[in-house]
This record gives sequence, C-alpha cells and structure tokens, in this order.
Amino acid sequence: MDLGLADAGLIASFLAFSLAIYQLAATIVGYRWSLPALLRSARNAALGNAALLLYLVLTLLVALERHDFSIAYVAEVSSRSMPWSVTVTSLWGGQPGSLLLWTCGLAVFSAVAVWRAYRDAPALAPFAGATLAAIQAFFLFLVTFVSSPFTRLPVPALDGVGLNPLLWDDGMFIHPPLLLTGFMSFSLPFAFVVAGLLAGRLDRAWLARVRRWALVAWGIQGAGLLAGMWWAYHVLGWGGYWGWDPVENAALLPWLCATAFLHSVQVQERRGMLKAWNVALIVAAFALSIFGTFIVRSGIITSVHSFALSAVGPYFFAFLGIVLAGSLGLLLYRLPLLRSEGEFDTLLSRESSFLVNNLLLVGIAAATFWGTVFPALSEALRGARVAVGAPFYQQVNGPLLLVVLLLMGLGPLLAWRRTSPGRLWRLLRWPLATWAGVSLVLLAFGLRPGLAAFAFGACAFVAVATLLELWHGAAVRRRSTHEAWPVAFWMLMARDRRRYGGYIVHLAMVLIAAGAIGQASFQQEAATTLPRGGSVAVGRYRLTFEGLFERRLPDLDIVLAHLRVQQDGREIALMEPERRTHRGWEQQPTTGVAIHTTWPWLDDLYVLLTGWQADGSATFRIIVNPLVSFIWLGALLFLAGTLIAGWPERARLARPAGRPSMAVVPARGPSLQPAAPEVVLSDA
Amino acid sequence: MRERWIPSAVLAALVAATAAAVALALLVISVGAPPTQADSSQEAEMRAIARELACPVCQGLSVADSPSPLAAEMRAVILQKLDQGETRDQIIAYFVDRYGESILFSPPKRGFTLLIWWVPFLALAAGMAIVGVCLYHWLRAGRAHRPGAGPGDGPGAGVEAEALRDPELAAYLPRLEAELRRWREATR
Repeated sequence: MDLGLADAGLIASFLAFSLAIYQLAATIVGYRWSLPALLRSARNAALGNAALLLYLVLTLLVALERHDFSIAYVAEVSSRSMPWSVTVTSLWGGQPGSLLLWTCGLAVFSAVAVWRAYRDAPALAPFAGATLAAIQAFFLFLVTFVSSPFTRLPVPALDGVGLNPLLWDDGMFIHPPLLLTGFMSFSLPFAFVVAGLLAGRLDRAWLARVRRWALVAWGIQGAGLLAGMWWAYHVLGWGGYWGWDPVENAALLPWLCATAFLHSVQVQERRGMLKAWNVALIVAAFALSIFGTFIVRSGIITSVHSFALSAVGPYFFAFLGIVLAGSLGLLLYRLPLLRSEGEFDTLLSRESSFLVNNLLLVGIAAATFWGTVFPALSEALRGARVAVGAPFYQQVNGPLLLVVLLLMGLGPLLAWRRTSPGRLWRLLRWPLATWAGVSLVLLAFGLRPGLAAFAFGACAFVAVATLLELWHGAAVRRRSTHEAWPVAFWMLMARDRRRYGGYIVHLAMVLIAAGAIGQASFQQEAATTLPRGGSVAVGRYRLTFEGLFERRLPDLDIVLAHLRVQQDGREIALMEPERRTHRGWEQQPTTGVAIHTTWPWLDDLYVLLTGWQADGSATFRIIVNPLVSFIWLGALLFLAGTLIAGWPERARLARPAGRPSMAVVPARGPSLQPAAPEVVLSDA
Repeated sequence: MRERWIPSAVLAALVAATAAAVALALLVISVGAPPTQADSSQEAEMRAIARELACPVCQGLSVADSPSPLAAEMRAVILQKLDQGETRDQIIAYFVDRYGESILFSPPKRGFTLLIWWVPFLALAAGMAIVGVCLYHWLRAGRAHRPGAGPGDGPGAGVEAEALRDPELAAYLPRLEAELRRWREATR
C-alpha cells in the first residue's frame, strides 16, 4: 500500500508534536543542568517545527486541490464545483484546518522569536522558548490526536460538501488568516511575560520585548478586525459592518486588552508603576485569544449542547485553566519584584488619564465578554436561552466608547507627573472651541438627533487636539532646524515613532468613530417592489429600476438588476445588485450587494436585490449609509499608524563583539533581583 | 494651599464625568435605544419591531437586518398584523409565544435577565472604586515625598511641561528624572 497525502499529514503532524515535546524537554533539561548544546538543539527544534508545519499546511493544500476526498476534512470543506481559489481558502473553512493554520503561524513566529531571543536576550530565551513550545505542543496535540485535518473517511467520498457559497469571496483570503494569525500572536507577549516572571528579570529590556510583541499582535488583530468589518459590509449584505455577534466579540476582546496594555505600559516605563497590572493584561489578552480561537470554530456560544459535541472543547477549557492558574501563581510568586516604584504627583497628569483609559477599555471588554457568554450561562443555569443582540452592546458600550473618544483628545495634552490647569486650558481652548463650533453649526443646519451633533463635535475636538499636537511638534523642530514643513513632520515621526504613530492611530479611530456615528444616526432604509421603469425615492436619491438581466456561467447563475440613480435630479450612477445561485447550492442563493458612494455627501447607497416576480417586477432593499467610507479611510490610517509605531528599529549598534561562547555567565547589571543565570549561545 | 484644591477639584470633575457617563448609559438603557428617525409610516414601525426580534436562523442579526427568507416572512407577518391594527406589544408577544423568549433580540429587563444589564455597571463601579483607592494612595505617597514642592505653575513644572512638548528635550527628561530621584533619595 502506498502512502497517500493523509498518511503523510498524519505522520508529519505526529513528528511535529514529538518535536515540540522534545523542544520543551530539551529546554528545561538544558537550562537546569546548564547544557548549551541541548539548548542550541532546542532552539533548532523550533526551526524544525516551523518547517514541519509549513509542510503540513502545504500537504493539506495539495490534498484540497487534488480533491482527495478520502480525507474527511477535504470532503467536508471543499467540492469539485469550487474554483481553485476558493478551494485554497477552504483550508481554513473548518475547525481542524483553522487549528492547523493557527499552529503553523505560531511555529513560524516562535521560531523567529526564540532565535532572536537567544541572540539578544539569553536570560529570557530558554523560558520563552519553553513556554512557546508548551503552547505549540498543546495545539499540535489537538491537531494530531483530537481534531486532525488528515483523518480518513472509511469510504472515500465521490464529491465533497464544500463551503457555503457565502464564503466564496476574495475576502476569505484576508480576513480569517489575519484573525487566526492575530489570535495566535498573542502567545508571544505572553511567552515573554512568563519568561520574565520565571527568570525574575522584569527590567526595561524585558518590558520593551513584551511591548514590541504586544504591538505586533495588536496590529495584526486590529487589521483582522477591520478586514472583517469590510467583509461583513461588502459581502454578507445586511447593511452593517459590525453586528456584535459572538465571533466578532471574541476577536475584539484580546485586542481591547492589548490596547489597554499598550497605554498602561507607558506608565510602567516612565514611572515604574502598574507592573502587576500590565502582566495581568497580557495574560488576559492571551487567555481571551485562546477563548476566541475556540469560539470562532465551535458552536458553544450558539448552544451549550454543541460544547459537549465538540471534541476540542474540554481540552481548550483545561488548557485555559492551566494558563490562568499558572499565570496567577507566577504573578503572586513574583509580586515582590512587581512592586510599584513611583507615586502620583497630581491627578491632572498623563498617568491618571491612562488609568481612566484602562478602566474604560477593560470595562468595555468585560461587558462584551459578559454579553457573549450570557446566553450559554442562561442556558446552563435555567435551561432557557436568551439572545443578546446588538442593542445590548450599543447601549452598554456606546457611552463608554464615547468617553474613550474624549479621553483620546484630552490624554495626550496632559504632561507626565503634572499639568497646570492654566497650561491645560491653553492647549484645550481651540479643540474645545472646535467642539462647540461644530456641534452648534450642525445643530443650526438642522442636524438631528442632537446627540449626533454633539458626538461629531467630540470627533472634531479629538482630531483638532491631536493635529495641534503634531503641529506643535513640527513647529518646535522647525524653529531649531529650519526644515520645510513636510520634512519637519517626517523627522518628527522618525524621532519618536511610537508617540506619533500612536497619534495617527488616534486620528484613525476618530475617522472610524465619525463613520460609525454617521451610520448609526442617519441610516435610511426602504424595502420596495418596483415594476420595470418604476422608481423610488430614498433620502435625496431617486432610484429607477430598468429591468432584470441574467448571466449564466458554468457553475453560477447570476440575476442582476439595473438601477439608475439620480441625486437632486442629476444622474450619478448605474447600480447592479445581484442574486447569485451556485450550482449545487440552489437552496442558498447569495446576494451581490451594489454599493455606490455619493459625492459630496459621502452616503453609501447600499442596494440588495431580494427577489423578483414573473411579471418582471423586482423587490429591493435600499439602504443609505452615511459616512461609512470614513471607516475604510480610518482603517488605512490605522495600518499606517501601526506600521509607523511598530516598524523595527535599525539594529542597535553596540552588540558585544567577542562574546563568550557557550558560557554560563552570571547576570549582569545592578540587579536587586534574584535573577536567573544567563546561558549564552553562540554557533562559533 | 494651591495643591490642595487642584487635585480635589479635578478628582471631583473626574468622578462627576464618569458618573455622568454611567448615568447617561443607565438612562439610555431604561428608556431603550432612541428611535433613529422620526418616521410615522407603518413600514418604519415594522422595522422598529423587527429590530427587537432576533432572526432565529442566523447568528447575531435582527429580523430587520437579516437577509434570510425566514426573516423576510416574519417582516411580512409583522406588516400584516400592523394592518390588522395590532400594537407593537401584541405583535412581539405573538412571536415570543411561538418561538420563546430567545426571539427577543435583547434580553427583557426583568427577572433573571436583568442580570445582564446590571453586571457591567456594577463591574465598572467596582473598577472605579479600585482606581479611586489606588489613586488616593499614590497621591498621598507623592505628597509625602515632596513636602515642599507644590504642583502647578512652579517654574520647574513649566520647564518640564515645555520640554515634554519638545521631542528634542523630551529625550533627556527620563534621565533627569532618574538623577533627581537618586539625589532626592541620597539627601533624604
């Protein structure tokens, strides 16, 4: 019997699992008995693991493209009728494949992190390596023994079931892999936090390392969330971009914790405070990312009963329990090293604004978590399910988000330690004037509800406060260097990329907030059936239905409607909403949304073709979504700001030239801590 | 003394602002989400009702938003019942009768499900209390350390604040702070 792809996959995943166990054991033994050769071998095992997992992903991809329906997973998520590009995305269309991709991402990231750590931070490297190997081993255990994507069917299927046609979209290439990578990458800051706690080295270099990896995870997860919003809006066709459904919430939770950390870590860097809190935030972000990984592909939130059916459920919860209990134990054990060094001078300071920021962000995360688990809780406690839909989150998180927005304008103006009220007033008066001005002008022009005018004013307040900060910085530079404005801005960014990258992310958040406020306050909607030639007015637009057309592709039937759009009597667009029926999925036609952004009002006309009758009339759902394009603009700015803040610094110059090779050296530096000895590796 | 009233005034303002936010949230919750548009037509009433019902076959979508055929049928039923002169409460009761309480898009604000509405705010209040206590202790420690130095518009504060605005100078601040702290500890 010759070996098939399934056997190759099963063998390779078993090898990868063994290698992760070996990496863990070799690191522990090598560190305990100071055996650099063994540590080096463990470090190389991380590379080997990455190679094996890339091979596994490739194998699964080949199995999918060859339609090897002897493999259960391939038969479940792909079918012969799917085009090859959709077949690629079906790799992460189900739980086993998603777990494999998650693990592959972790293997690659941890190979990089472990390799770099042995070079730059030898005291942390063994601990970080062991933590990552343990996480890796857990996931490989699932991939190999519990939920393998390579399990064979007793009898090979003739054709697979395939992905829901709703997922046959290019967005599937970006959104799920980004989110899985984001979820996975919270393991890295966690591993370095655990390493610092275990080694007893909670110094600045350690903190910088944790912060960098946290920023990476935060950036990837943020991009994944924004890509998900784009996808929901352009593909799912319900008129919105964020529905507060459990899967979205699960992805938001670790991101919120990481956001809180990226702010409060500055208090630790500047003032030596909030150390234990920061550790707790990273642990929470990691635990929630594990929770999210599990939620995304299991149905537990839909029903507790599916929890019992899901094979991976109990393992996940055991793992989460170990992570939380272990982290708590470590935190308590190292609490003496995490004692706060500083104190507060006044309440009116950057420090206290970060405290409030953390309170709000963690509060939002807690409310979101509560709402997400409440249906399962209710079912478990009293046997009755409840639905917790968007209104709960809008009513609870909405006001909190508004306060966060205001804080975004106020916080950066406050100096560390103390700001005099007079100085704060001088910095605040123009932003405040803008707030009042914008709100009043909008009200005067008849913008209702008044709350929206107030909220738009708040957006303007934050934007002006942030832009003034940027302008002040550039002006100061120009005074001393006489550079041109663009050069001054560029150099300003280059000099303090974290700070100014952060400001750009703030501006991105303002844009997203403005878009969200616009869409939530001024959405207009009409559902109507039009005869051919009939027209309907929605807001300032008039849509005329010109007829239905049919397009037949080999695997797809498309019915599309032509709608001419007039704005104030002038023709501006031809919109073509579609209804697509995929061969083999006749019961589940999908909608092709037509979206047209109008100028200068920046309304999104969002048109869905919901049905048609024999006489040639058709039914449409027409939504006017104001300002949604601000959200996508904000998303681009978010990416730019994140890249500015997180782009790797040029390699530090002074790295000791002649290092001792394979020597165990005592910890350097004025450490008051019972630091672990350092094992320096070198390949010499 | 100046430094006495500034922190307490700001603390009061901070507490007032957060309390106002919480009060606003509670208000929003108790009166329900404000209608987004003043539109009296039957279609708008139908959508308002549909927004309160969860689509039974989708995840996280209301009947108003869901593109599923079942939701479309439910919307038609709502319109029909409105035509027959039924009120919003009667129509919602009809759906609860047929599908159970899980058809409600947000849990009713009574009995067990009242928990979901209150716990976030109790948690937030607890968090505020914790932050308040921490702030109180840290501020007291800070005052105890600098018996003479008052915060506010002292010459030192101005220079420092100016430096923080200037990225070139800001680079030196942490070093200055460390030196100062060492000096303060040495001379204590």
